Amino acid sequence: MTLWTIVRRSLAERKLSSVLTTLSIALGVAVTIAILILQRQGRENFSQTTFGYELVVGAKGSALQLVLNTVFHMDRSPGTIPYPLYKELKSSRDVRLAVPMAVGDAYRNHRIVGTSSAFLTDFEVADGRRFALAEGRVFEHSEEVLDRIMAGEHVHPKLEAVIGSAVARRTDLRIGSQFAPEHGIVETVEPQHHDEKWTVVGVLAPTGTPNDRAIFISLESFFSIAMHQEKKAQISAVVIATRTPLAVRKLEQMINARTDAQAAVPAMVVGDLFDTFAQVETLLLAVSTLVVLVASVSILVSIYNSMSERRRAIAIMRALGARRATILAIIELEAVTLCVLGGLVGAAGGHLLAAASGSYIGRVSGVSVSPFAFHPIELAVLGGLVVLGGLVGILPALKAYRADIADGLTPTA
Amino acid sequence: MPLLLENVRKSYPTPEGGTSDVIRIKRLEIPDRAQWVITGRSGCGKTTFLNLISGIITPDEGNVQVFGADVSRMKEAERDRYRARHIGIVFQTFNLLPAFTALENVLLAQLFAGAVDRARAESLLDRVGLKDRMSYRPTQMSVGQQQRVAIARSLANNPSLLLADEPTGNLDPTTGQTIIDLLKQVCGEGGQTLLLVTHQPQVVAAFKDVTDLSNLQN
Repeated sequence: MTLWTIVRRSLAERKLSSVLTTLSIALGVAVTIAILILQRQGRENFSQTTFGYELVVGAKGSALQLVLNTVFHMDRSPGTIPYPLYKELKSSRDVRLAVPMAVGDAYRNHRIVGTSSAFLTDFEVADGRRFALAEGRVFEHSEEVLDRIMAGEHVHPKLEAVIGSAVARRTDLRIGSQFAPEHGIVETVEPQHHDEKWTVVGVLAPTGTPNDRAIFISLESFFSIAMHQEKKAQISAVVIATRTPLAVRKLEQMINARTDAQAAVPAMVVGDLFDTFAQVETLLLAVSTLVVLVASVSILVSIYNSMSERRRAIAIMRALGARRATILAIIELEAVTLCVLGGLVGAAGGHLLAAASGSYIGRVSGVSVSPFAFHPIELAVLGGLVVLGGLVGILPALKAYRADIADGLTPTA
Repeated sequence: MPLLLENVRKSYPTPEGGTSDVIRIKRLEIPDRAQWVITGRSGCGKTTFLNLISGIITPDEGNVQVFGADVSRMKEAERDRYRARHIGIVFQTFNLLPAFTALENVLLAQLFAGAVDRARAESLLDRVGLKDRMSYRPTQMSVGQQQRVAIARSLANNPSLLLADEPTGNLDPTTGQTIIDLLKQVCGEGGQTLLLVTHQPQVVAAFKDVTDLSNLQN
């Protein structure tokens, strides 16, 4: 028998009220935790996705659209740039690595990216890691063949594809599978298939980036097919790794001064995007905090109102020798327990909510979210709830503290 | 002297705005291990009298000494602690906590005294004939059984003084007699000084030492 026994029994005696107030706290905490997890992970993972290259060069227009299309394989391409620009950039002494890209096709909602093998072999995909193959090999690529095709020559390169891990998981494509890309990226009832078929020669290991849900083919195979031949000498983008950090700004300025292309620094574009979201996140956090505060007021009201019913029980405990401070501590513990219980349930709920949301985010953007990763802010939230519980418990605790023994023992009916 | 009241006065405000003396006792001594009855008509101040002795309230004047400790001069927290450890109380309306079992009601009394002794609590309930009712809540017991639990609870901390305020007031005559006999037996065995207040003639008749409260008032 301890004070904690008294607290537990007291809360159990008011089961409905205790459950409802706990759940209302849990609701606010769950939304708060979910927002914080997604905010932090989204910012980290979206930023990590841009490791490996510092610049994206594409058609004039929205830098955000360019980055979303090139880096995250989302949205439409803002346009095309001339193939010779890629050759020009590649030969620049400020450029360590330049890789061309062309988009426009898909297979069962998975974007097909025409590029060079260097994209899969020479770039870091995230945090010092390079692409790794779970099975097979990278498609064959020849810069010389690509140049000939771009010059108008009819060449028939091998039609080989490397698929991301999510593509392998969600479709029936395996090593040796053949598929016909669908022209365009908008899902339609009757997609228009190309006549040509590609063969899967490699499956990438999971990277936790949007590249997991893309299909990579050689740029020369992309332009060798009939429907794309009118696009010759126009590509969607060039991704660039610079020799020095200073070269990023220099190249950016030089390209943006052109009339036929723009350069975007993905890290900055993504950062700006999240800064815009930050206001929405702040608003959502404010709303969820308000939910918690309103729920805590309901705890105050519930416990305060119970003081009248418990007047006699409190007087009995005092008559048995419980000090006023002991009674105050019991009431305070009740309030803190409800808040902390709500916090724990809410934290679990928040992770589940993040998992559900993260699943959708992963499907749409290819960016993975670890919904069950511990966020240090959760400790702060729990600590805050302990303080909040103490605060809301003050009024009812003081009422119990001031209760008179003799009055409380006197039967009222 | 285990219980000594000297020049004790306690008054309460009246609806008319004045005050009225409920207790005005020049001197009362109760010897050690006595089993004493204080009788009086309903509303004469018997409960107030017991509350003064237990330290639940303090007198306006005078002092109340329980086994040498002047409870009327103690600070409230001290009085609470002293009451928990040295004074047991049996109430007319039993005053058991309904959310707790019989055993837990006894353990609670020990908790507030600072030392929980489950074995003693079980032994006390066994002594009052409730060995098979330890896990029952008050609502699952008869009124007689509830008062037995209250007696066990009052003895939880082996007090020196046991106060009983109309302990048979809510019981039928047969059950009431059983309770009185039990009180006398357990206090006799444990060496507690028993001070019981009642207005019931049949209870008065069970004791040798009886004083009318009105005879103590001056």
